[in-house]
Amino acid sequence: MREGQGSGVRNWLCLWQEGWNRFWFVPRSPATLAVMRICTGMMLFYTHGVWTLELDSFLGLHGIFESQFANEVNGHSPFVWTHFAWIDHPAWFWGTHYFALAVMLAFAFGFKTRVSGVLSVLFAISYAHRAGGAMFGLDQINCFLALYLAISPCGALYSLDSFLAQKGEGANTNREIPNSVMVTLATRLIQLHLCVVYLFAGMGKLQGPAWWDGTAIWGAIASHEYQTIDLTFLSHWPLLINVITLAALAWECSYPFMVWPRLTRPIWLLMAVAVHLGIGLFMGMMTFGIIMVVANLAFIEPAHTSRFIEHCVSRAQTRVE
Amino acid sequence: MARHKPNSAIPIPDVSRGVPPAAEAAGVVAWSGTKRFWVSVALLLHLACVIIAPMAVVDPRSDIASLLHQPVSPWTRGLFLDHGYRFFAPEPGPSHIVEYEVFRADGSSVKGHFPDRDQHWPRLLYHRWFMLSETVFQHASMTLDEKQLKEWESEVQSEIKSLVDSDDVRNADRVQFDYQRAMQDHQRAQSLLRQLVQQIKQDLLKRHNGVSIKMRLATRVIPSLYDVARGRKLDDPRYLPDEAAIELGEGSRVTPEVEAIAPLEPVPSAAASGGGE
Repeated sequence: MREGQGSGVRNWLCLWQEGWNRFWFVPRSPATLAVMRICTGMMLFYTHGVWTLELDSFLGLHGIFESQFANEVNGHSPFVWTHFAWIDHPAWFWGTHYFALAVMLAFAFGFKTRVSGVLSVLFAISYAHRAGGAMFGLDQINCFLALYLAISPCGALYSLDSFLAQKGEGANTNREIPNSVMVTLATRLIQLHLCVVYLFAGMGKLQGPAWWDGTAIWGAIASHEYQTIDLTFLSHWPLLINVITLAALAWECSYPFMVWPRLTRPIWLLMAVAVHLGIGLFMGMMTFGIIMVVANLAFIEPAHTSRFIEHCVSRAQTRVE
Repeated sequence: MARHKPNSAIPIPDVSRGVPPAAEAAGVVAWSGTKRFWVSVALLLHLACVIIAPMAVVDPRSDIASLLHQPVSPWTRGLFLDHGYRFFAPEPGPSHIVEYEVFRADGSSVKGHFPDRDQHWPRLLYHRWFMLSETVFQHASMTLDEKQLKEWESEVQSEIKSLVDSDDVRNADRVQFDYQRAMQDHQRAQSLLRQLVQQIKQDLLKRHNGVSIKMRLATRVIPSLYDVARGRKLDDPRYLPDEAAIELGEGSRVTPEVEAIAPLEPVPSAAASGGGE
């Protein structure tokens, strides 16, 4: 009997180990991460490019988030580092900013991706540490996507690196892009991190009465500072506001569980696109909406991504011809 | 375009050529057992950090989450992973606007506010200013004036005394600990608010070529659904009530050299102005 129980536990542990290995260590194609690299890199470039307009005011040597204040906000922690703390001359300050932008653009285009990826995430974190008081969800998602993409060979496809490598080997050579475990690791980390984001966002909402009484969406619609498209006509449809509120809450809370089964995944991903683009359109946070959709791409199988890209390329070629 | 092919060293099905996503189902695992073990340990530690951080950085938080967060905070803070992810949670609240008036040497003045959608473009820049005004509010809402501080202290002391009198030393210690932690938060918020407001004033003075400035933090409450259904607009001044505004004081322009030796101006607390949450 005991032997039977022992082997049962052993079998169960073996199954777990097998599942664990299959989840983390089966190599994958970098197709999806390559597309995510392009989107995240462009978003990093835009996000930091916009800082150029107010760089001195916000991050400057004597700006609102100058070194002393940034240090105090960060509790003088040696781990909350920022390169701005090492700069004390305007020329270096601006030079570094333009260098950071160039690095992010290089990452988006997949040029020297290994180096530009690591530098991009370091710069993104550095800016966020400097001006923490002006950051929001966009920067949080930007940084964690860049972090996981930087550890993966996401520059192996759809990149200048792969184009140049192919050119170097000759036009007729069919370059082989091996699947990689690092792609799987990065993909899984993005997926799990995204589930944590939705889980806590959902659980946080469960503390608010407005999410229970079905009026929270009204709070978002009626915020004058957020509003870009007027949806206040919905005030005549309070039950519809209830339905939208409760549906959004149910979707967010269930996301970490329902996005994994193949049957429910497409529905939850489509809802993610609708919710985030809706927030982008109606509340003026298009950058945040887009980066959340980009993060959700991690759940798209590389095979589907490749097929989609190949389809787009062949259509474009047909049009050109 | 480069073609994907499985790594020749490992028999992995090709997932890139329209074959159903079968790599996982095939269960072909790369890397040696030792390498997988150490990478698994690192993954578990990192994922633990990712989960602990949102439990520990936002109130309400448990002692266990705070305790677990301490050793991992260098990692989570260093990589900018220390977030609560409470988007529109616990619920969408009022927004906060910094209103200011800058006075110039020639006697003229200019009024403004941020965030200001007419002035701050593109939208991402507007959001930066919006987050700045929300940060000002966040610090302001955590500060108390002298009178309230004294009242709070005497309340806590009498609670501790009654607990000690009833031999409940454990809870008395707990109340004392909570009080000290809240007091530290208050002092930190007060110091940060003072510095932040000072920096914003200096920036606005420089921007508008002013010599002095007056600033306050206004709160725009969310209008009720029924008010709006009856035709009231979102920018109705009634939703910016004076009694909810927090005075952020006056200030004058200082050069960086003078700033180094001059003490920062005190900022009236949120509670003293009748605002805050």
